[in-house]
Amino acid sequence: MPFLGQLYGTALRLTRNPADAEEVVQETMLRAFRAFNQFQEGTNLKAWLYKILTNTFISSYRKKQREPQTVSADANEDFSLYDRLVEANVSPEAELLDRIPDEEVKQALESIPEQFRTAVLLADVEGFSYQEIADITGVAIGTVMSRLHRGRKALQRALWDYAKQRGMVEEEEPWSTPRRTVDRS
Amino acid sequence: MEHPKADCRSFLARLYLYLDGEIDELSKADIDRHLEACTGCEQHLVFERDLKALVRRKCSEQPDAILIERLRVEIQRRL
Repeated sequence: MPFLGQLYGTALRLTRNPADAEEVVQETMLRAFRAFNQFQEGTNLKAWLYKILTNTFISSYRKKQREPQTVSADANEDFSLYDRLVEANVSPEAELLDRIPDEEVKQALESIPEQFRTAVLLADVEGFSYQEIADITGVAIGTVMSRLHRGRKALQRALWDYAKQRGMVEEEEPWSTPRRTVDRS
Repeated sequence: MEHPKADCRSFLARLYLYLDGEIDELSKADIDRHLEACTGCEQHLVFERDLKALVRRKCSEQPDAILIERLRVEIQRRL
């Protein structure tokens, strides 16, 4: 069975839970076997399996999650990790981020809204093209680009928050350090 | 001569298209020319490229052989 490991990896990031990830992968493969006559020889098998995976996740699993599916206000749209690092007088290099443990980066990715997370997973982790992601998720290419953009920005925000919490960077917050004045009276 | 700031803005707007290899040849040549002349944008591009690679590296999951085998057996049982 091809792509089992990769499908499991994606399912784990989507469900955020190993037991659910196993269930989604099993269900995906069962659906794939049953529908295999619909697969067109010579087309992209991996993309076809990922389409089934995404649908399986949405239909059978997402119901349980009660995660809000639309994000109205998006404060992260213009967030730029690069600019923040420059402003904080930190050399804007990814080596800094390399010090963040894998588990924390995974958690950061898992913290972003599902539709954005899916786009980032498919593009950056699985390496699918915009057209393939549009086919897999059943939306227009423009929507893919927008979700990917917002997902990346949200991820950058989460990584920035982590780096700040751990004292890897210090953001200047003028309002938090009032100059102490000596009372001469 | 074009104002350099406008060039930088135009690069930023297409940064992800460039990075994802989703840009046409003409725009790519355009950006490459700008990157040769603008250290700031080049540095920004390298950062975003490294970050993309980092996400891929750190968020990939390589389940062990035991888990894969268990999944395979379970799927076959349910078929």
